[in-house]
Amino acid sequence: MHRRQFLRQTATTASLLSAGMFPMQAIARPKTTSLTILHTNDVHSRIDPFPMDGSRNEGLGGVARRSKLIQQIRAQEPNVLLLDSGDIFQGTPYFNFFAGELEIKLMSEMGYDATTIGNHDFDAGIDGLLKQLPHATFPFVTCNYDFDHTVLREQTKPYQVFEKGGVKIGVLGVGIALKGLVPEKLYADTRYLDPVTQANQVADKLRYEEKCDYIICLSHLGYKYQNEQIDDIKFARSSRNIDLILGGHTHTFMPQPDIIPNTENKPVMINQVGWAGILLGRVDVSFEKNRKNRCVTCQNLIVR
Amino acid sequence: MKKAVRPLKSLYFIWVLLLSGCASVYHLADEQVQTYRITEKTVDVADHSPIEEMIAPYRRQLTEEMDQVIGFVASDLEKGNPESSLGNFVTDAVLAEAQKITDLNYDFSICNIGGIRISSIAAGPINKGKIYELMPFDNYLVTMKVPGEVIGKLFDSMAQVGGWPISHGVTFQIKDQRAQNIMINGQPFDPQQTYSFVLSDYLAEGGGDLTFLKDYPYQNLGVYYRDALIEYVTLKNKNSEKIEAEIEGRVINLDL
Repeated sequence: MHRRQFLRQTATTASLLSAGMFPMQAIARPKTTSLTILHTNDVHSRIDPFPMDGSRNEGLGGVARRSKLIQQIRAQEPNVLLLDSGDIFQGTPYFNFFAGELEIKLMSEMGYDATTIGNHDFDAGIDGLLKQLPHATFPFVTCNYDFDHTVLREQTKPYQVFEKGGVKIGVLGVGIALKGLVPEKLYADTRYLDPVTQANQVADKLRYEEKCDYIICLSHLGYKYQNEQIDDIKFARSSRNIDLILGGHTHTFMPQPDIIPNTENKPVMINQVGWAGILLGRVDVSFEKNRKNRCVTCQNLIVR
Repeated sequence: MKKAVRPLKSLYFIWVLLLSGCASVYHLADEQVQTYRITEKTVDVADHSPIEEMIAPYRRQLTEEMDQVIGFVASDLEKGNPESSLGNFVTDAVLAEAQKITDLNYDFSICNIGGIRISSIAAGPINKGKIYELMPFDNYLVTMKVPGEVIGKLFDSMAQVGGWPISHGVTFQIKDQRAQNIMINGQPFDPQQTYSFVLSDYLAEGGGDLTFLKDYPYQNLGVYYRDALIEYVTLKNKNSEKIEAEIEGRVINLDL
């Protein structure tokens, strides 16, 4: 877990620390590129803020505010990726009435780069999901739902590669087992494949064939279960080549991200930001470009 | 043997060095995480933002629809166990609707308590949006006809979780988490008889831990459970009747 530090404070703290404690290295700092990843999960058709009715979340969230915040961050950061981990649909009458059309249109307007598919995204059936895809200017990435025998054949992608400031980022997606969770008539002939096997294959491809520098998995598996069911923790532990897991499904408000060693004992970060668009998650990643086989600045950042 | 292997190994080592040394490499140097809480205070939105403009027509249509007053509630309806005024309203309403749609009589109707998503409805006018809050899921209204032994299991299942909403005409007591003294429309429950009842497709397909129901076919009335409630309230209002429901001793929990 060396090369990473997980101060919950902002980046300022870190740069002060490294500049103050290692002035020489700070001056001789090699070229770095930064990437800002913004993410949501389980927004559940929460277009307007929660109504002011005395309930726990009253007045929180709202797409217009999130959009404004994203705009502000885009104005400050050159390389932004905006991602969602599924369950875009269901939860307010907007979905009952407009079948997810507005949710997808707004995500396109905000400039989402990719999403994965949550179990509630099947709530209008796969035909219902298909109907909304033309409103999306971003791909739906999933590598463990086999839609070959459904109307969604070739409508989703196993992964998407982005290039930001010279850095190549691979984004893949995994979804939860549908049997028992979603009525069969809604997901029809969708086949659920093992997320670990599929994701590892895709991540290998992203790392070695697509030459990605950083690999993000959008997961709708859920953060943590007491039983045997696959969750983000178990998934991270059995994964390889994935750097960051942006989770969903369990509506978990994580006070800080988890760091789990993968099969190669490399750290995988897991983050999830509650639900309903109450929060917007942000992960700032910096990359050092050099021709050496080890990172110089990384050495300065060991905190624990 | 050893000598033959060594040069290969070192060659491989050099090859790896060359590869990693020459490629233009981005090393992951740092990751920082923060979370924004989205509130009125943290993000100020102008009314004319493009996003607001996109939402506005949808919201207008929705508000118009949801704010429609469809009826009046005589006194507060509350959700609870083993019997509740809100639960009685819901089950009586769907039973009446199912009978109206099919022109058939059913012995009773049920609703799982978890399917009712609000804790109360206040006395006074009730709008469509309130019924959507009560039942956001697109579950269908369905009917089933099953042997008495299945009905016995059904009542025991409801007893086990402290009682679910059930329609007028049924009474029973919960003792040691089982149903006893079951009366259905004035007759003692007969395990030898066949009964027909009204429920949601969610339950008919084994949801709410009623897995034993999965073995029996159901008839889908093609109407959402929620829409049946809206229709019931609307019709009552047309006839200048208010929604009235009280606890009347349908289910009594002797374990408490």
